[in-house]
Amino acid sequence: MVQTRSTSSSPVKKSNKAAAPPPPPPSLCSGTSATTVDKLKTPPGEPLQLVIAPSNVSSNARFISLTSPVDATPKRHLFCPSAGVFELTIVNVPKHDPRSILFALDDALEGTKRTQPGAVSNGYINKNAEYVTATPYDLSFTLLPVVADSGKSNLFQSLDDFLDSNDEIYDLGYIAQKSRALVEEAAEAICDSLEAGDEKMYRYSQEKTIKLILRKAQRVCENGLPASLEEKFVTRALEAPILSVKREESTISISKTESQDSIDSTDASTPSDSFDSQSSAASAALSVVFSESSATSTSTSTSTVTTAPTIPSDPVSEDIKSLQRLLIAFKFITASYLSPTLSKTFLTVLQSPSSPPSPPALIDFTPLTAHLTHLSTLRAQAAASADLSSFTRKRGSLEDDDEAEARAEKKRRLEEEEKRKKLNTSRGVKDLAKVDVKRMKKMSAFFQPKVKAKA
Amino acid sequence: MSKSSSSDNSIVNIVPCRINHTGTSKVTKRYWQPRSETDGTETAYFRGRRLRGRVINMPEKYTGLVLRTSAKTIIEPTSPAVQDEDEDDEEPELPVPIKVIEQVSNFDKMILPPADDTMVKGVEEWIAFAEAIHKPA
Repeated sequence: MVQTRSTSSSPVKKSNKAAAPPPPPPSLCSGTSATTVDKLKTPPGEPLQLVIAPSNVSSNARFISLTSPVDATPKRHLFCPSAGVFELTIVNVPKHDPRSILFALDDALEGTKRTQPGAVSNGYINKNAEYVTATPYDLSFTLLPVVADSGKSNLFQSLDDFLDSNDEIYDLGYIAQKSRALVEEAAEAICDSLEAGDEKMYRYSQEKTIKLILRKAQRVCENGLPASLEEKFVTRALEAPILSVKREESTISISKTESQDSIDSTDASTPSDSFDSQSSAASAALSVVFSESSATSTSTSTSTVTTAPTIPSDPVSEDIKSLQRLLIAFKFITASYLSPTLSKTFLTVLQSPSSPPSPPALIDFTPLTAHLTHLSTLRAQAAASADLSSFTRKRGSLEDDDEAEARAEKKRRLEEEEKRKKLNTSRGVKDLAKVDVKRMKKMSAFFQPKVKAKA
Repeated sequence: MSKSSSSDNSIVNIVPCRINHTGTSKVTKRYWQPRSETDGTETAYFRGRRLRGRVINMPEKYTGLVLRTSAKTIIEPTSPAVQDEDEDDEEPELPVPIKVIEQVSNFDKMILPPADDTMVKGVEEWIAFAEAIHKPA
């Protein structure tokens, strides 16, 4: 890792500095060096925004705020009257792992055309590396709290009534005004509709909404889950870890033999655990994966996922895997785009064995549930027997689960801290630590009065 | 957001260090010259350090835009009928000056440190994933 602390010595900017009137004092470097040469006429130090957006976004597009369906805070979106609404996701890296962006000329084009002076490709630096992706966004998610919350849910209402009755819709009204079809379509997807005169009326339908999300989840699975999700929540969750590093420092015990022939899961996805911890685990991990700035990212999660080294044993059947995939996709969608209460309801409906709204459309999760409950009971047994065999522990096995979780969390945090500390120590300090000081004099020896010399 | 007509094309290098500067800087061939390696990675030297990177192309149908908030503002002509519920980017009063965001450059590829998981995933995994979620059924 290269740490560049002072700008003044950076060779990239030497040419710039030559033109700068007074060499800035080192302490002020970061502030002043930006003002040196300013061909771009940007205010000094203004970072450029990188946006990865679909090519069909027109120049009429605007950045707007929409209510986040998760926590009702305003969130930025990109709206193009012709191409639709796009969700903006900031992708950046953790603080302890600094990155910067250097804009440079595309080599392939260099011979063909000269860029005008002041163009970004002549060189520009962003101190913080981050970019924003603009990905398609289904307006139904934004509309969902609007239609679902409107108390009198068994009444059909027109779209405008919905929008008027809610103050916190930010620029949803603007979208409705610019491209009404888009909003209507979104409403259609989650509502029963009714033609009343020349106006369409809508009524929120939970069944339709769940089916919509399920369809989305299925499509995600058809395309394949992103590799990192697949690894973390499907492969690892369903395969058996060997319990040598189970939770705390549990000594090797009977549980080992027990769990080897069975398929034990790290608890990323035990259904017997409450849904809450699950979805937050999902979103926590996802925010690591995608660096989404989601509010739930700091919430506690069951953390054994990271500790247990997994050794695949029995292959899990493909059916169960695909069910798990579907469930994870569904959970991801609900956790990212629905309010906690709504997603909880939806999940219960989805997973309840006798789901009333038209059974054929919904998925039967019973094999997966059975499999996972089987795993979790085995795991509980293993944990219990581990408790019995460990002498140092005095607490009962009943309250142990929570505590173990808390401790695992604490441990993980400590580990993280240590890692960060390691990253921050300079190379010099690290090198010195390796030096064998056994035969050297103590530092204090040099500061003692030389009594012997006098005598 | 207004797209400028200039078709400036740059390469975005994400370098694995903090450059404590934001703003223009003349990136000369002499000091920054990534070379393609046989295994598809790029190597550049920055202050004597060897940096290795991999090239990430933008996904199909996506482009990278380099944007900047410009000093210009435009006033959106709003029809009186909708004035009561039109809220805007910057302030709620009407008519509202809207900040124009200029596109100053674009890019087709980024060069990232090879180990850079998050930023690679953002392009390679997240975009396709999000499309699958949000595309109308």
